[in-house]
Amino acid sequence: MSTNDQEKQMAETIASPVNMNQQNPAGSQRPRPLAEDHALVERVRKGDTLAWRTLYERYSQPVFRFVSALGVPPEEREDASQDVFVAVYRGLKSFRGEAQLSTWIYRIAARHASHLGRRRRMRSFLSLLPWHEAEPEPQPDPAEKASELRLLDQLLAKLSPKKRMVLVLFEIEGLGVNEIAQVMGCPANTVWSRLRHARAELVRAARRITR
Amino acid sequence: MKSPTQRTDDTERWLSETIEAARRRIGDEVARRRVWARVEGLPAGQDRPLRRARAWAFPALTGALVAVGVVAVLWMVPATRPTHAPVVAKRASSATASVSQPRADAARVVSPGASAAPVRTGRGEKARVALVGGVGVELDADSVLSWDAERRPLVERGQARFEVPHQAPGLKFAVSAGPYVVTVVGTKFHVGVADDRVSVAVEEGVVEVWRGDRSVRLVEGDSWAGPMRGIAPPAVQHRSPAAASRRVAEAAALPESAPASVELTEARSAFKEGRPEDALAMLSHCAKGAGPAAENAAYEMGRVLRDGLRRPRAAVAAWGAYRTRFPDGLLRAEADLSILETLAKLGDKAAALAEAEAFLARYPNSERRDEVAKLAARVRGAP
Repeated sequence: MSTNDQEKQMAETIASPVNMNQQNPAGSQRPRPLAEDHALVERVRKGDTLAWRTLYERYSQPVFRFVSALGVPPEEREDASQDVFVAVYRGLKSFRGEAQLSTWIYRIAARHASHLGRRRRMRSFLSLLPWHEAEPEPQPDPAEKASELRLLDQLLAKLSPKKRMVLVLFEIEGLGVNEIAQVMGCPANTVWSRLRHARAELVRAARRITR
Repeated sequence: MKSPTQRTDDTERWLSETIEAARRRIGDEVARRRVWARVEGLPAGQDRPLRRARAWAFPALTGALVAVGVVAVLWMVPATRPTHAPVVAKRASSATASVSQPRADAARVVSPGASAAPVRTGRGEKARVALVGGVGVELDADSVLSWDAERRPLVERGQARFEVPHQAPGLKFAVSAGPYVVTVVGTKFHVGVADDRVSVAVEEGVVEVWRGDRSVRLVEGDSWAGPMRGIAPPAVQHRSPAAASRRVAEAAALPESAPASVELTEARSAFKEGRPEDALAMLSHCAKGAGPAAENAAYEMGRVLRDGLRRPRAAVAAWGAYRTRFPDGLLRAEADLSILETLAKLGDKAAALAEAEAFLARYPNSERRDEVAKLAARVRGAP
């Protein structure tokens, strides 16, 4: 058995706390026929505002959900999503259709969320300086009443950014490993490895809380 | 006492259920609609939607440092740049190319850059000009676009079609044409200067044409023309429309034609300063107009009535009027929730329950569903 296969088997047999169901109830973004995406992209490129609206309606929920799960605080999510769609629009002319449109949009969102994460870490580092005013604690999203989701966000925040992204893309967004590898620009084996570690760390963190 | 296995099972079940809930997390639909309002204009060439909130600090600092550097370099190396011919720039976005035009091959995409040299088109030639802030201008044949003393675009001759992205509250975009200043919040319109007359035609949104402190308001489909003769050029005007409207607002006598966004800002300030009656009067006036400022004003009247004047019934009526006028408005969900909360606080059980049921039916996937359901349960349980 190859190393790759061993990794996959290990990941599949690991005592996972999460539902391995790949169906994504909210994710209308699950693989669509490439031709459908291409037709939509082509219409948007030609300035068809209805097609642009269709694209937004199709992907705005996943983008909001994705940036939320990656730790973008509530007060920045709206702007982050806006930036992602502006980048999507500007990038459509160079979209070659080699990947699923959803994968490509996730890649843009992932890059932007990482950028925002680095900026937040820099801010929190600066806030440690004695002459720098401390950053206010992010407030919970008033639209999001579920304390469980907030707790999950706290648990996810304990993971490294790369592990968190793999876990979110796999478990919440329902992407396959090869798609995640495309989004993150790393080999599929690395995705499997990060996923395995991320799950283990998430379970450990959850157990510490429920203990 | 639970065994370790049971505890593990509980933890795994909880994680599984929570991740399932996270999969259903769809984000606040009001926020998504706000974002849509900012990005919907991209195919029409509005490639710089509103910037916002907290993101200004780093870019502002970086921009300031870059600006200082550029100024220093230009100061040390003077007169090495061409100061006239317009800078031919790359297209701001593919959207610019998507605008239909009879002779696209003859179109130029130019940026005023630092030189602010006039853009001229000859016969049979057209130009597209990308201005700071995402404003797109299509300059027709035999036209001249320059900049006045206040750095506003000035249509000296010919026809120009402007596409202006929606401006942030309190801000507006202005174009000069002869003695007139055309102000907009976000719209598409044409300005023409020919035969000693200035003409304005509105494709979308609302436009105000100012001359001194008098103005005329034009809505979608309207057109207007005024004489040029005997009037000093706009460059020497000293009173901007914004200043004029502020002055009048200070006198508590807003003219019919005060820019809606300014009026809205004034109303908010009045409310913050503890003058809810003044705020309500200004909002009421502003709400009679059209466009985003009117929509915001119609919604905010309810807040002033409820929180400032302690008239919750009147507030509910105001939000109801908002819903009637803007059934698919950006603040529709907010209005629905405000009515629901206010009715619940008033103890109007039947009306609150009806509102809650209507909300749950209208927004079946709302993340506020739980909140509304709990509120409805509380109302039901109330004696």
